[in-house]
Amino acid sequence: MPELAGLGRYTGPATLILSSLAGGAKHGYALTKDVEQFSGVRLSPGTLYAALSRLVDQKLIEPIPSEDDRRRPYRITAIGSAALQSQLSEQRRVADVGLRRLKGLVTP
Amino acid sequence: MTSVTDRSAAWLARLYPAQWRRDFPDFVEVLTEELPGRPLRVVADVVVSSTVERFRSAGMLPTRPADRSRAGLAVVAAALLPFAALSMGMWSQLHTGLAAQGPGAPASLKWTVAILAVAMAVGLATASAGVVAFALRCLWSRPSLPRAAAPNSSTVRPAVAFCVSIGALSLTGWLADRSGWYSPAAAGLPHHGAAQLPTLWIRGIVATITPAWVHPTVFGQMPPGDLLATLAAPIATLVATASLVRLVRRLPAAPSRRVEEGFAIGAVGTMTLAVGACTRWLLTHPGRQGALPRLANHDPLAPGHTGWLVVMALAMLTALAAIGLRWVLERGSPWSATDG
Repeated sequence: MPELAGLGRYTGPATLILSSLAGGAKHGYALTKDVEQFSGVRLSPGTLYAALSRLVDQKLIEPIPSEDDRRRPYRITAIGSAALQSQLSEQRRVADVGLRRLKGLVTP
Repeated sequence: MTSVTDRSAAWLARLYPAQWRRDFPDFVEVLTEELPGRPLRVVADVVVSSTVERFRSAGMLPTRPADRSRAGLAVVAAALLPFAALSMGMWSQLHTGLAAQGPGAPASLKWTVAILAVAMAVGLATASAGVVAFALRCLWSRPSLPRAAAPNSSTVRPAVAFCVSIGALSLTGWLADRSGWYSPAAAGLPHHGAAQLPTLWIRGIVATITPAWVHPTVFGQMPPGDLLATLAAPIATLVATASLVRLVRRLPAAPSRRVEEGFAIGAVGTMTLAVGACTRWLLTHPGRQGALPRLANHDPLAPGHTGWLVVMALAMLTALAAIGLRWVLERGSPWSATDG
């Protein structure tokens, strides 16, 4: 099972990209806009394409044929879906623990 | 008509390798959209990312496990080349006591010729064995030979870049040599005949690790030829190293696991021994160095000591080769039962 944590500093951008592609195939510009819309994070082009390049290398996403030579859309692969599921479940577990502990925190 | 932003985006995209630009054709479009809003952040991000991509495309930062072994081998080879040139200079100097002897001095000449002869003999023997092994392998697998062994643009380009950068390194070495500025590591090497070529490489590489980086005032004292070599040689050395890494990664020949791992282990072992021997010599022979007296060179532990600078450079190259060795060995022991 591939793990997004292996992508080092690109783990965060990779999670956002995979989450965006889970909603359907997109090219670079559409990805930037979608990620900004649902997360409030605006990925810089250098970071976005560095993460895309690594995701393609790891076969977590794949380019799909397009009639427009200037734009290359990507879609999430089955391995990518499994990696995203694992990453988000882990993030949810951490978030749940944090929220539960915050609830029990006694404020002065 | 194209706007300033379009031109800037196109220029920034050129920082990436050509293949990367072909893989991501819409990068310029995204860049054009993002540049006007936050130019400094975007430019800094692109410069860092493109530099990383350049290293990745040269095989020095592989991400796929399948690439790591060949990349490791390439890193070992790239570290070995400057190491061989530098250590030859260093050893000839150690044998003459790091004294300011001219190339014609009998002790310098004797040790230099001996070391060069051994190094060239080992190099020639290794290269010959490699050629014979490759030829035999091609004979045994003849049906796949023409396609697999044919040179193509992916190997020709790095080969040309390597030759050009070595030419540039030789030129900078020649300029530095003619400048008359003393070079401790190259002083004992031959300055006549065919053996002059490695001397020029050593002169160029040594210009890269000049004490001037530690004592910047030395830059002002340098003759123009040596100053030019000091500034240009690092670039030529880097390009030569990157080209060699690319070339090794793309070579059609695929040596067996035992050969690859044996080469990597042997190279790193030899380099470690050489560094250890040089270090031991410097520690047991303090205060004999008289190359640049004003730079506290009489104290072998002083930061600007030329001998230590060379040893540090050799140690860094060894560390780089050790990283390559780790990548080569990651796929398992060469003597394991699963070896194929």
